[in-house]
Amino acid sequence: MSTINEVKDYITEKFAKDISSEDLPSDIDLNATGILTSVSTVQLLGWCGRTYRIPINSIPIDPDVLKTPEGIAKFIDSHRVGADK
Amino acid sequence: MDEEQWSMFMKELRGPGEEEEPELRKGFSLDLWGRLSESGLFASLSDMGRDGGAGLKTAVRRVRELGRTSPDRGLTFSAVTQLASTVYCLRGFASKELQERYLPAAEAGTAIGGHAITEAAAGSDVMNMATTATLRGDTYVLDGTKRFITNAPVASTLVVYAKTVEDGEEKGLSAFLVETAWPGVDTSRAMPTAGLRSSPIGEVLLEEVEVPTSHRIGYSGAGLLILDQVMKREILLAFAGNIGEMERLVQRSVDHVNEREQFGTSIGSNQLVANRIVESQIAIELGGALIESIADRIDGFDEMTIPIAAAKIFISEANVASVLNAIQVHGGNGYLETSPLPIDLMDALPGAIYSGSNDLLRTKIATMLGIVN
Amino acid sequence: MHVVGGGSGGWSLRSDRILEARDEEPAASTGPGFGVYRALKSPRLIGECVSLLDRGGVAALVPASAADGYFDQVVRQVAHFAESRDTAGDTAAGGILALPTSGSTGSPKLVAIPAEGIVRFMEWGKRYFGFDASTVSLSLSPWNFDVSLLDTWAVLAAGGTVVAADAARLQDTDYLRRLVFEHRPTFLQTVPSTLDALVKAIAEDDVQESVTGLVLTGGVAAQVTRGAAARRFPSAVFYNVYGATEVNDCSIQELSAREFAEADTLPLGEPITGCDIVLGLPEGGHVPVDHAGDAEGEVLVRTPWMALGYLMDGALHPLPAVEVEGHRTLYPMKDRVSCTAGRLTYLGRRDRTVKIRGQRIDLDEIEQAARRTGLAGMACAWIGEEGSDAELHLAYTTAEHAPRPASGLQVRMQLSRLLPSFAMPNRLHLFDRPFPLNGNGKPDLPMIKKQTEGK
Repeated sequence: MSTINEVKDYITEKFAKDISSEDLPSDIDLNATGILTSVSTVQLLGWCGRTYRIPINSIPIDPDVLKTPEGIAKFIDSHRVGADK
Repeated sequence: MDEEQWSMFMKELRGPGEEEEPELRKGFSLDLWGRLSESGLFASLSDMGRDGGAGLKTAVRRVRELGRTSPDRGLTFSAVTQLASTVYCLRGFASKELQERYLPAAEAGTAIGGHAITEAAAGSDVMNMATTATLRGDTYVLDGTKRFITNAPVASTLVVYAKTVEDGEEKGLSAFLVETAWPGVDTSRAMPTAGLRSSPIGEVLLEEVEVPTSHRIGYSGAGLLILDQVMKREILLAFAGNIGEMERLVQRSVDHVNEREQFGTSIGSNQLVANRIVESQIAIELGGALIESIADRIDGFDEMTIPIAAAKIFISEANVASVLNAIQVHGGNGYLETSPLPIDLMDALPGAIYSGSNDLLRTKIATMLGIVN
Repeated sequence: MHVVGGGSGGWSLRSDRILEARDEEPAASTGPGFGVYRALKSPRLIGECVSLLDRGGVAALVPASAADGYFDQVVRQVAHFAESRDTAGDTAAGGILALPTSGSTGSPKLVAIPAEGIVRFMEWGKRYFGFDASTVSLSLSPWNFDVSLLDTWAVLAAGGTVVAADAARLQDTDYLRRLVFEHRPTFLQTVPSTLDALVKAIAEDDVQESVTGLVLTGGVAAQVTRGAAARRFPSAVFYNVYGATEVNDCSIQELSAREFAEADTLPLGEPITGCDIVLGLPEGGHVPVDHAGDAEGEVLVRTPWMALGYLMDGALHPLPAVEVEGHRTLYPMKDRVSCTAGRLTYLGRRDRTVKIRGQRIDLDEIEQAARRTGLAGMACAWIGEEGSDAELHLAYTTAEHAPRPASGLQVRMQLSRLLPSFAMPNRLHLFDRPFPLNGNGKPDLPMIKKQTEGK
């Protein structure tokens, strides 16, 4: 399964059960629509770290990047262990 | 890394006799801080690099040893703050320029640092903070009041967490490296805590403090993410120190129960008396093992919220229990003003309060387990 | 200049009877059928508003110091609204004065007051306070506050004189003193902060005999301040007036100097002629204030000069409304009062402002926003879990006449256009049947919460 689908699965399962994963637009602004808050972004980041083996505590993170599902997927793909840097 | 320097300092610390201890702990000792700095403690994270690892484990080991060796719990507390708030934070999240400028003095201990997070209306509810950082051109203007800030009265730098305001919009929290000598920063108000008296703690008043954008640590709005990581290291180090302190008390108690005689024999022969010390040691084993496990995993990919909260809750409460046990075991002598034990008690009490109140951490664990409220 | 109200005749407001005014062009943005003005006290400002209202247009007054961004937002909204009125032929219904009110959801919220209502209000003011050509009123509050409809508009309409104090300079005691001593006002309307400023500016023994009427409105003033005021204005009759921008004034209490100075709290008084005040009782049911005996409850009012609604997002939205049998639609003041023999005393505020992640939000406004999307019929908001990990929940029922229930995604997308991110609901719950109701006929929140947890 592609990264972005995994991201959508996680987000809808954890934060927006009222939306199905397939229906979540890839470019939806998760902050503006209340799906991700400043506090739950910390949770999301922890999930990214664990699931994709990303050393989240030692890379600079721009919260703006985590605003949309496609932004999150891009972040994951560019930092996951084994990614071509 | 210079283990020799560190070992030498530990040896020095084992020096002073029991009678001198209470005096040591009545106030911050710049001299003692200087000697601690020279031992290289604050440079322990220097091989942390961008991949985590050995540096943090070294720091954990040393802080535990400091807790075991030094009679001064306040000193350990201030040292942990230096490591977590400034050294770790800069190494982990700051730009190269900021690191080059501030890390040398922070790691040499010649510049004392702290982090300004808590406010009158924002303790556990950190998002409720009112301090703002408003962007004007290429400067942030900081306004607000922080309190219960460890090291503030003696700090040269503070990492200030504030609500970022850019173009009239609030963008979440950001972290800023602020020099206490800058205009508008007032760290003169020390707070008279009941314990940890050798760890300076106070209010920080920020009035129209101009901070260049270069001094923002990490991205705008990344403050909560940074704070989350910083607090995890602070807890790890602080409670490693607590384990060391408990080990010190066990040693002292063992010596005491072997020496003191009642009814023709050492009081240590009494199973119940011995048991009090045993209980403390059991807690040391459990807490120590958890600290080691966390130190091994924290830079990896495991979910660490529950283990860290559990360690904090367990160790802080065991710390208080171990002091109470030690007082019990020392009898009347443990109750004198000249005994370090009552001071140890006052120093151990706030462990359940700082770095996250135990009550709220328990609730957090429940939530993370999926228990619906 | 006239303000023509439907059927009530014309009123002239003479701008040459405004003293101490700034002789500047009011900073404004105008277009066909509308004008948005920064409320600096210039004589031309009132004149322009009046002529716009005469023509059935929309005049909006914005705080003089409002940010440019805010001003521009208001202009866009008012322009859009004026255009839609024009298209609908609504201008014949009369002009509208739009005054800003505070909303906690970020975008400008204006109260739309019909010209007809203003005329009725000015008539009442003139009759009640006896305004005439000899009246000199010191206008202390900014002209974007609805209180100016009494201390400025009504006085001018009656042929009186208005001394237009610069609201930004009230802390300058020399300035304020000069205004009082030079112009010798006969009528003063104050809010707690301006009463305070007055008392600071005038020395204890420097009495002003000229003042025969002093109105206090807009909040509770400390007893110390009231006492000081009573001593400085020994010839005055005092009045405590209760109201809101949405309804203007609705009740009034006349007080002697002694009562004004010594009462712990000032009573809100009795309904103004023509106003309907009803108490919503905590156990359910409603009772008009004049039949209430001894009772406590929430205040619901209707006045002859009530606003038409709120101007938001370029459209007119009705005021929150409560229907009580035997009464025309009432407006909930969100205040609790006690009532004895028809006389009201203020008990406290009743609103649903809460804090989430350090930000204040108004649950009522969030529910209203949900309804405004057109996707929700009824909406109920609440905060779940305490502390930093708090979440905002929203339960909603399908809008009437909707072909199918709105999805959570649709609701979130629409809501995000109306609310700032911190006020957005984090958890949505669609109710496929009507909300369970409590004894008062209102949504039963505890029950709703229970049912959403069960899912």
